[in-house]
Amino acid sequence: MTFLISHATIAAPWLIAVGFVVGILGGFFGVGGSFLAGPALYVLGLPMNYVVGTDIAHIVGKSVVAAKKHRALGNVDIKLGLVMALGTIPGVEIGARVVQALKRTKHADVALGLSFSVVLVVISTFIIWESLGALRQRRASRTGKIKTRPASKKDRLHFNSLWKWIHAIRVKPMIGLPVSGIRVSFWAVLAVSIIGGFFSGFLGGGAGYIRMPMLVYVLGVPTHVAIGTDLFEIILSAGYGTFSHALKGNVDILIALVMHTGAAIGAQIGAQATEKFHGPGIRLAFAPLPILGAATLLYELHHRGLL
Amino acid sequence: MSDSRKTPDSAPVEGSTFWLEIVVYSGLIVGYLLLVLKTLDVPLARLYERHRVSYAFAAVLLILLQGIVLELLTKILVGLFRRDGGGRRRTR
Repeated sequence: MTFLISHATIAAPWLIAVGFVVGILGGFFGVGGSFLAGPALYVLGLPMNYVVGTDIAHIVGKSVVAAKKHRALGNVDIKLGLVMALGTIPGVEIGARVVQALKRTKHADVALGLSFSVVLVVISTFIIWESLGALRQRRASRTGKIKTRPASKKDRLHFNSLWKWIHAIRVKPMIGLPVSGIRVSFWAVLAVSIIGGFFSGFLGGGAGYIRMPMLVYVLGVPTHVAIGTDLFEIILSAGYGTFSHALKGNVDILIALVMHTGAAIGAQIGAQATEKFHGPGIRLAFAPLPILGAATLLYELHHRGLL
Repeated sequence: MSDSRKTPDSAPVEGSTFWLEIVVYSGLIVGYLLLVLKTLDVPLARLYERHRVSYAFAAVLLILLQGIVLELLTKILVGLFRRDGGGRRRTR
C-alpha cells in the first residue's frame, strides 16, 4: 500500500511483522528496538529521515502498552521514571546537538562513533560475565530438593560493588524509591538519565540498551523493575521525540500505526513472558542487544561514508 | 540487591485471561487501524502539508489513543466476558 505522507509503498503485513518482533523484544527487555526496526524500515523502502521519526512514534505506542502491562505486574517505579525524565530530555537535546556539531568535523564523528561501539561491546561482555556468575551463584545456593519457581523475581547480582558505592554517596537530596527498594542520591539518578538521554539523542531511538543495564548495575534497581521503569521512561522521551520529529516532517504516523498493530500485541506477550524468567536469565538474554547497538552505529558510519 | 517491592497494583493475569485479552485486543487494534486508514489518511496528509503543529499533536494523540484507549476497552470487554461466564456457571 502507498502511504500518502511519505509517499512510500510498503506491504502492511511486513510492517506488522516487524512491529510484532520489535514489540516482543520491547516488552521483554524494556528497549525501544530501534536497532532492529530502523534498518528494517529502511530496507522496506522508507526514506531515512522518515525512518528515524516514524520509528520513534511507534516506540511511544508500544512502550505505553508494555509499560501498562509491567505496571500491572508491579514492575514500574513511576517516581524513579519521573525523576529520570528531568535528565533524559536535556540529555536527548545534548546528544542531538553533539550530532549537529560533529557533522562539521568528520574525524571526531568517526572517533566518537568507534569509542561508543567499544563501550557498547564492553557493556555486553560485562553483562554476559556478570549474569553467568549470578546464574552460577543461584544454582549453588539452591538447596537440594527445594525447587524455586522460574517465575521468581528475586534478583541476584554477581557484581554488587558499583551500586553499593553509589548508594553510599549521601549527597542531598536523597530519594527513597520503595518500588525499587532503594534509597539513592537524586544526582546519581540524574546522571544516569542524562547519559541515557545523550545516547538516545546521539544514536536515535530509546537507548534502552544502555539505560536498562545502568538502572540495574549503577542504581541497584531489580531487573524486572528496571525493564518496566525503562519503558515508562521511554514513553516520555520518545513522546517528546515524536512531537519534535513530527514538527520537522519526519513522521509518517500511518506507517507508525500499522507497525504498532503488531508491536502492541508483541509487547503484551513480551511483558507477560518476563514473569517466566528470573533477573540473571533476562540479563543474559539481553547481553547481545548492546552489540546490536554497536553494529547499528558502525553501519551508520559506513553508510555516511566515514568508515 | 534489594527486592522489597510494593505489591502489584493488580494481580498478574491468569494464562487464559491473558490470551483472551490478546485476542480481544488484536480485534480492536485491527479495527482501529482500518478505521484510521479508511477515514484519516487524506485528512492527515493534508494536515502534514498545511499545518505541521496540528499534525504533530494529531500524531502523538493517535498513537497514544491506540495504546491507552484500546487497552482500556479490552479490559472492560474481557471483564464483561468473565462476569458473563461466571454468572452462567453460578446459575447451573
